[in-house]
Amino acid sequence: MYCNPLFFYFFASLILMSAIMVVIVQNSLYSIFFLISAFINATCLLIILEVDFIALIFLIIYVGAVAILFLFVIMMINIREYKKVLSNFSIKFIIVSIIGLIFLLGIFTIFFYDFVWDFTPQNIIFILSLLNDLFGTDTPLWEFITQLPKNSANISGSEYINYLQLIHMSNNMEALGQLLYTYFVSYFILSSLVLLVAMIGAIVLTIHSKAQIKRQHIFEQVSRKWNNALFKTKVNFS
Amino acid sequence: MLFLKLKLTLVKFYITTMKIYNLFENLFINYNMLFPEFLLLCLILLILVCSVVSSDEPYIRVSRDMGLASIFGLVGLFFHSFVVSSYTTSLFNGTLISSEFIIFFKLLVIVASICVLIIGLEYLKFEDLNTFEYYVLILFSILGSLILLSSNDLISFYLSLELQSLCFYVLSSYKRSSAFSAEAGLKYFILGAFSSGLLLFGSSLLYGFTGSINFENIAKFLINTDVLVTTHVYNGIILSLIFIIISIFFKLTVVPFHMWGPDVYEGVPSPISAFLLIVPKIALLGFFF
Repeated sequence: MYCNPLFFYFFASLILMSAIMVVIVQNSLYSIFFLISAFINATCLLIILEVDFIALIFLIIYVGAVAILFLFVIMMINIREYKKVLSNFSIKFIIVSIIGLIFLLGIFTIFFYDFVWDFTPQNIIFILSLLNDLFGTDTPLWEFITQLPKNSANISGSEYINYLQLIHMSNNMEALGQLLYTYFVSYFILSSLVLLVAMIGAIVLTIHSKAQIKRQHIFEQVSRKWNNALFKTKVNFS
Repeated sequence: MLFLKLKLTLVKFYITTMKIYNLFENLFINYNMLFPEFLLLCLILLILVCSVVSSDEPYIRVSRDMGLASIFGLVGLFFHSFVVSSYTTSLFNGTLISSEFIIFFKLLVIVASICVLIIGLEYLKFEDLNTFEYYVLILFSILGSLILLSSNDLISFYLSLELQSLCFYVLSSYKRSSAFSAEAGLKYFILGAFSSGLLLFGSSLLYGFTGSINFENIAKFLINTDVLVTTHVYNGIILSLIFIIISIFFKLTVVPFHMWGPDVYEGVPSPISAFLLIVPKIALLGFFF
């Protein structure tokens, strides 16, 4: 898919904006809404990058489950009491952010050094050709493939095959489905076990099993007949 | 003509049967290495189903029975692990491997967990924590450490580590009546989730820089140190390895990341703290070597 990189910059800047707003905004309900907008923009970004499965998973899990869970949590808490606790920028915050920035700069320098900052002539030509692919009006790769001669053409008696057209193209979901149930079945089984453990853990931590609980005895009810349906019991009137 | 046809069909039949036979031969030889894991999974599911079916019985009896069942099952597992072929084999396209060394560590894990279960039998009666989920969770964490020992892949490593540590989070806050246990569980959960995040970040960087998730392929990539130092990928690989090692140190409570250790080990119920001290350490150290 050919896409203008301007869209990428648009959605990325929107993500950054909403991520900053999540931290800055005082009302936590609004910050949740900004979080949701960040997730939706991230989905758009992932669709542009052609990872549609992960984009849809983002939309379902983060917007549909996690953000709604956060909303529930916030509605449970009394926000007005917590507003007083929150203070503005203090000296501690500034010191901690400076230390964090130093570490972040270390990581960033490694990334820039490794990926782009290598200006040998061949690399410059390569980057320029990439930019030409992105911004120029040249035909993208897929159209180039389709413009090639057809699968088996006869040229002076000898046949040749265009292998580019024989490539089986499949989208992300098809590829994942084909791989997940065959080659990487161990991951699938392991993740199912992890989910089972999560379920058991949630039950263990929340269930309250009392000894003096009144239960329905179905066998007794079914086996009741006319001669034992009415009976006397002792009742304390104290 | 008929004879020829018969012969042809016979030959075809022979070839197909040999193909199927070869397929199954490979299957049985390879799947032999996962025998203890399969057995343990069957034991866990059996215990789950049995205790759910017998939920009308008094809790004390169900819990005691399930504890005895899990101990005897683990003893059986210990003797069955000797059946596993000691050749170095790999399974599921190199996601899991097995060797004599790994089998030794698996035996060590099983023995340690048998001891912990025997300690726990009296403790649960004494503290009135009579529920069968205790045994199910401990068995699941043993399963996680067994798979962790034989994992040969970044994803299977992460998944088995999560299977193990999720059980530990629940087990450490098992005693709901005490505030210490809840505090320990919360602390352990937050730090464990944080270190898992670091592990994921590091492994994604490692995948990005080396282009492979298989440990063997990464090792092949890293052996060529002369080429690595000259290329700029080196720094990135070092960074990713630092992230992974930090997360594993968190799990092992090795010195710079050991501050959560005393808090958690103090708060959790005693047999579980014994379990936390022994089993994951054996598993991770065995995985490291």
